[in-house]
Amino acid sequence: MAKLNRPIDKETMEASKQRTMAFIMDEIERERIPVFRHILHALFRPKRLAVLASAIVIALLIIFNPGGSGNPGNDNPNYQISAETSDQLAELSYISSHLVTMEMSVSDTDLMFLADTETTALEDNMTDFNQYFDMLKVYLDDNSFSESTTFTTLTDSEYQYQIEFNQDDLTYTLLLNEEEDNTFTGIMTLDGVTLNVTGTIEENNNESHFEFEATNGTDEVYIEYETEADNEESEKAFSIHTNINGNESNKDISVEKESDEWKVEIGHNQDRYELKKELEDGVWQYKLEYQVNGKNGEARITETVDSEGNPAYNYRISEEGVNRNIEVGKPDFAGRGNNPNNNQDDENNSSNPNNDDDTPGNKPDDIPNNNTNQSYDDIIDPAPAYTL
Amino acid sequence: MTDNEIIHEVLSGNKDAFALIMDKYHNELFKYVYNMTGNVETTEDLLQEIFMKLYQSLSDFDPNKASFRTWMYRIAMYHTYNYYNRKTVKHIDEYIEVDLSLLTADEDIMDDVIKEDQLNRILDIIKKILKPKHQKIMLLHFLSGLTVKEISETLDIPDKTIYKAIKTSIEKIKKEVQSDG
Repeated sequence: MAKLNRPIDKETMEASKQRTMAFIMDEIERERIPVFRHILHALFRPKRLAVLASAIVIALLIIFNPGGSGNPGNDNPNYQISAETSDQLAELSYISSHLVTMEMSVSDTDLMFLADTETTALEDNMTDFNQYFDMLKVYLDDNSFSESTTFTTLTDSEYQYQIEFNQDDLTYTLLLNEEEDNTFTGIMTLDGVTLNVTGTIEENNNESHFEFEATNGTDEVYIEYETEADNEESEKAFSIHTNINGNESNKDISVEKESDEWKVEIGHNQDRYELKKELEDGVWQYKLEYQVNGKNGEARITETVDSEGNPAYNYRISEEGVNRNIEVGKPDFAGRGNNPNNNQDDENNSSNPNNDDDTPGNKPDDIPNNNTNQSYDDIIDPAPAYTL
Repeated sequence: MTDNEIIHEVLSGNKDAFALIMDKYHNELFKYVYNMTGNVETTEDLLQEIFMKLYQSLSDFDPNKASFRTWMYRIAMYHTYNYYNRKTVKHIDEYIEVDLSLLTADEDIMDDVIKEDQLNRILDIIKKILKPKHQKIMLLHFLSGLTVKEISETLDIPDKTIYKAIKTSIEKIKKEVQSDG
């Protein structure tokens, strides 16, 4: 018996039991598990991406646009990093960190085994999309960065400001100095990974404009970011160019909020995705509409867990007459579960300043993301009966 | 039949044997999920999803690594935690008086039910002040019938760590309750 119990009528519970058992047995009867599922399961267990196999040092260079040096909306000519800008800096750190990791993992895909089966264009691009979704659903969930961001002016540090925020169980810390008007330098730490940071910000009333370039000498992420907000509506636009491992890529991401509803649009080269979050039959679902490789489709995405208890996403795809129901592991991301310092008991983990949790790191909370590549071993039914 | 024997039956093709698993564990899981949601319909929906997940994942269950019950709770815990993490928290009166003795209840009063508003307030505080890992531990500790050892097996975290997490979390919850009062 649990320690804290709500009162529940036994007859109600028994009636629910009968309905649930009847439903499940009916589903089991109707379910047709593909014969090759178990073969796939044996052959293609999710691999863990060794994102942290080597430390990544990334210099974020934010290039200030000289033509935009005026700051008419700010009465203080010596504009400084402030609590008001810390949310946007947190947001940019989050996006840029994910993008760098995303580009690294894209080359490590093993989806080709599905080439001789009937797949959809979305599945062919699932490596990219699943990571976009994982990165951007923070907006659909309305998890405001401001709620988890703390801004501190430091007096006994080589840095002037500290910005700390949490997203998805990870703690990001930015330590910054102001260099000159609107320009700053510093470092960002993310669970053992350190990034060098420089940047500039322009703000004008409800509008902000950022340009920044992230580079470690060979790889780079360049982002132009604009945001505009008033009481009812909010709009953010990211125009991104990445060059990681010699692969160049262009992305456009826009995030709009209207009447408490968020919409995210992603453009990746010629592909387009539109994401919304909707309440259907009492369950929140993410609705995707896309045009990929010249094909149009829709998908319903729900959060679930795989058999190991690791978070995963279930995609119900409908694309030009082809229906698919697949489960994809939550993508790996720098710092999640691969930090050896985060695999110790309470008494031993103090050496990692970013790990202030009392629980040991590795299982299962810290490695929900070891399904680096898409786990198609949980294909449920290639042609399920559902209506989109 | 033992759980492992039932699972062997199911995996051998006798799908109807899965009904034995549901019959055995439905009410236990129902109470755990209902304690979290406070809504019968939502609980039923979540339970159906959990049982389907269990059925579809049965071939992954390794009896050498965990008991079926704790493996089942792992799946149920993550599934319900996703719900708990996503749901919009209703405005809960911060001045609801929480009986602090509930937080450290011993075995003798475990069977008691508590007032809805008190439980809602405690869940609200857990979500507000604890980190996700500690939230999961405390949700299992308060809302399931699992022992510390079983929570340890469910989460694959040493039981010593679970004890410490429960202790520190209860202290934090008490502090939050007292500061609101």
